[in-house]
This record gives sequence, structure tokens and C-alpha cells, in this order.
Amino acid sequence: MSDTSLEHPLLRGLHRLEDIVLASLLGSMILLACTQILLRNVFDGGFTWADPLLRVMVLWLGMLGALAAARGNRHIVIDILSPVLPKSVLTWTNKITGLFTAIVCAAVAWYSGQFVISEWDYGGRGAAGLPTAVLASIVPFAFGLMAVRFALQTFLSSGGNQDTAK
Amino acid sequence: MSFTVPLLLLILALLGAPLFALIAASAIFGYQGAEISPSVIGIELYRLAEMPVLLAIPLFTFAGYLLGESDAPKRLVRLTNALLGWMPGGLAIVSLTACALFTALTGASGVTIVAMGALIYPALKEAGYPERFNLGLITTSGSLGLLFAPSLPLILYGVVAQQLNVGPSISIDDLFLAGVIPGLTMLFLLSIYAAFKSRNLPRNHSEFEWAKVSAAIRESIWEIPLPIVILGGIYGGIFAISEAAAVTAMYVFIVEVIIKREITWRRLPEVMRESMLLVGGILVILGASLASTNLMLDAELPQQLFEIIRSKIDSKWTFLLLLNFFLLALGMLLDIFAALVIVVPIILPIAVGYNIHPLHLGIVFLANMQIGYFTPPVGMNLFIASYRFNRPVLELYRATMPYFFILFAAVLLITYWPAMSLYLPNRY
Repeated sequence: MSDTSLEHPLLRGLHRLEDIVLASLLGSMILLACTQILLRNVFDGGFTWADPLLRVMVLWLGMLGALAAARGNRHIVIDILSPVLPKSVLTWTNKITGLFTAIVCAAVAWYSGQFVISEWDYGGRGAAGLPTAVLASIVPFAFGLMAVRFALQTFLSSGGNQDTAK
Repeated sequence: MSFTVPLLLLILALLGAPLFALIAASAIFGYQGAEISPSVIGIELYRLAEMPVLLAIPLFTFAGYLLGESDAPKRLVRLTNALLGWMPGGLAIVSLTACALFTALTGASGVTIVAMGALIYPALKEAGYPERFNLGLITTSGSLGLLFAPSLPLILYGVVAQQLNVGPSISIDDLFLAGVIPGLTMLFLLSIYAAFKSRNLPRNHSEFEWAKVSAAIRESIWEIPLPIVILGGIYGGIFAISEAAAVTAMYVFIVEVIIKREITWRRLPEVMRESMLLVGGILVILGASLASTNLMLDAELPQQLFEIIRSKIDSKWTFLLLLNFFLLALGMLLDIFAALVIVVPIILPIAVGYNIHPLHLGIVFLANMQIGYFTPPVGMNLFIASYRFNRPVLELYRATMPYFFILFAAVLLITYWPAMSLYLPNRY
């Protein structure tokens, strides 16, 4: 985990907010899924909007989880060279991979943003009658913030202070 | 397609770029090559919201993390000890069984080594087992149990295989059944080895006492219904997988947070966040690979590969043997979730071409991955154990050697005797 004492208060607040959103999303997902099981088995009913909504919540949780994973460099990587590379080289390779990841995230945010805009124009509706554009907006949102996060890590880090331990 | 882009991506991969970014980049380049608008990647990522079974992934992961943070591992060891401790090599067998159960619930993410290792390692040492045996056992146990329901890799293999839609269609329930006999075989072979190794120990097993059993049962009375509800519910057709996951998450939450209060409300958000980091890491790779897989299928890449391999190898069994070595190497290099979403889409169509059943392939795939976790030089669990027990990695290479050969024998058996995987799903 990152060292919270060194963080800017604003940044700490942002991280706290991220955690709260993640936790409440997961909590409401468990509640909704269990209510749905109860309704189905006991009352032979259930909300028709619940199952599609639960599936969208999985997408949101996944995207926000990925965003949170970017915070402490916790994404899944192939870690072969980093244990053998000297620290001075590692600083540079970390900058290169960080920059690459930031660019890819920005591209995904841009392209999925186009999808969201075209869905908005088209007016498609998804889970619980909500516009698909709104439901899918988490994708460009999360990738956009991930791009910022990776870019900041690349330019602000002096290397060696990144948390790689699991 | 030119080779510059794949080569660049490979170098970036080796330098430690996140896998999701590499897959997404290859998909974007692929779209441009095929003159498709790259905004399709948005559609592909949104497909994560269209697969009902994915709901099981965050829910089971959360439940597993909660269990791992509570005192449940301690109770699990005590209970298995009371039940199995009387056997020759009892304590070692207890450790293997408890770890397998724990890994099935938490996924093989190194949690087992960290959470269970702390309990088992001192106990084995006290019983007089040689140091190297203990280190090897715990490192090996870190991935034992992957083949038992409701392990996440099993679910994820099912998701990927269903997306591909080649060969006989399979359900995740079938996969859960397919893993039972191969998983038990691994556990059985390791238990024999443990019993053999402890034959010279003065006193390596305890008496069976009803009093001890009933005390342990009383202590774990809240956790005992869990496997019964999950497995009974799924196999009995009462719950869909995602429903079983929801019930598990709710149940574990009620027991560990509200009844036993082993996890405080203050710590809860942190545990939730930690578990969702893993979920996010898995889902973002899965999402990106949905895009790259579709491109690959459109380009008929698996068929072309199949033709090439077919012209060199015509026996299914030779293919399987080569597959074993390939997967073993893969398991050393790649995280299991990444391997599943990247490699299964290529291998499954080829395997189906050789008349290998998707269920069988899934079990072979995961069994190899399981060994890959502790195969030198780069198996991840070797490093986790080295870090956890503060031992040089070289010592762990030596310690895990006998376990490697035992499990490799089990893998060969699983590979060449498809009935081990297919008997139960065919029967039920």
C-alpha cells in the first residue's frame, strides 16, 4: 500500500472517496443479489431490472477496481526482468512502461468515449431502462483517470519508490 | 501484419508493462490493420456487463478475502487436525487438505501461503518434520485446490470457453464436476508422500478423540455449513453459480463481521478494496482480451495454427504431451488469470481439432498452471514463500523438487486418462 502520510490531503480525500464508492458498490451488489434470490425462491418473483443492473454493476466494480489497482501499481504483469535488472536501469524501464500504459489507457478512453457518444446519439437503453451511454460511461471515465494516474506516476516518480510487493 | 508491433509489445511485456495495456494495444493495432473503427473496443469492454456468470467473480473473491482476514484459517486447521490428525503423517495431510479447501475458496493468489503458512509451518516444525519438507509442502499447497469448486480459475476458464463456442458446449457446473477426481488424485498422491516421509518421526500423529472432534466442530460451527451450502447448492441445481456466490458473500459477511466480529466495521472497507483490486485486475484483462480474441478469430488464426501443427503432429497424444510442456512454461511466466484469457482462445480451437473435450482441456490447462506456480526459476509462489519465510529462493527450488515430480506425474495421468475429468460430468 502507498504511504498515506506523504500524500497531499486532497489526494488522500480522493483515495478515500474511491474506497467508499468501491465498498458501497460491492455492498449494494451483495444486497441486491441476495434480495433477488429471496424473491425468486420464496415469492416466485423478483425485479426484472435487477439482473441486468447487477451485470452492469460488475462492469463498474471491475473498472473502479482497475483504477484503484493503478494507484499502487498492482496490475497483473509478467515480472521476469525486474528482479535481475539493476536499479538504475529499472528506473528507466519503469518510466517507459508507465508512459506506454498511460498512452494505451488514454487511447482506450478516447475510443470508448466515441462509443459512448454514438450510443448517446442513438439513444439505446440498457439495464433498468437507463441509457446505455450512461451505463457504459464508466469505461472512458476509468481509463481516462488511469491514463492520468500512470502518467503522473511516470513523471513524478524518481524510481524505486513504487510499490511492487504483493 | 508486420512483426515490429508484436516484438515491441513483447519487449514491453518483459519489462513489466501491465498485461491489460499490452492486450488493449494489440487490439487497437489489430483494428487499424483490419480497417475497423477502434471505437469497437468500447463495445467489447461493455460486454463485461453482459455475462451473467461474471457476477460470481467479485462475490467469491470478497468472501475469500474476508475468510482469509478472519480467524477461519485457524479453525479450519484445528478441525481438519481433529478429523485427520490420527493418520500416519497426519499433520502433513491435514495441512494439504486444509490448504486445498482454502485455495478453492480464495483462488490461488498467494493468500494461502501467507494465511495458512503462518499456522502450519510452526506446527510442522514442532512435530519434527524436516525443514525442507515443510517449506516445500507450504509452497506447493499455495496452488493446490485450484481444481475444486468454486475456484475462480475454473469459473474463468468456463467463461472464456463459452465465449469461444467451439466443440461440445460446456457449463461451469460440468467443470466443477470435472475437477473433482483429478484434484483428489493430486491430494491423494501428495498425502502418500507425506505419510512416507514421516515414517521415521517419533510421533507425528495424534490419537483420534471424539472430544477433540466435537470441540473443533463446535468452534467452526458457523463455517461448516459453507461448503455444504455452496457445493450442495450448485451441484444440487438449487443455485446458479452467481447466486451461490451472492449467498456465500452474504453469509461470510454475517458470520465474520456481525456474529464473530473478527473483522471490524472500520477494517471492512479496506478488505473490500483489497479484494476489488484483484477483481479489477482480472476483469480489465478479460475485457481487453474479448476484443483481441474476436480479432484473432476473425483472422482465423487458431485454424491456421491448427493446420501448421497438424502437418507436423498427427497424434492427439503427442499434441497433449507438447501442450503439457508449453503450459508448464506458461504457468511459470504468466499469472493464471492472464494465461486463461490470453492462451485459452488460441489453444481451445486447436485442441477441439484434435478431438480433445473442452472439459478435459480445461482440467489439463489448470493442472499445469498449478505446477507452474512453483516451477523454478520464476514460479510466483516460490517468491511469495521466499518473502514470507525469509528464505533464499534457491532453497525453495530444492524444497519443492519432490512435490514437483509427484504433481507432474499426476498431470500426466490427468492428461492421458481423459475419463478422470469426464467421468463425473458424463454421469450427472
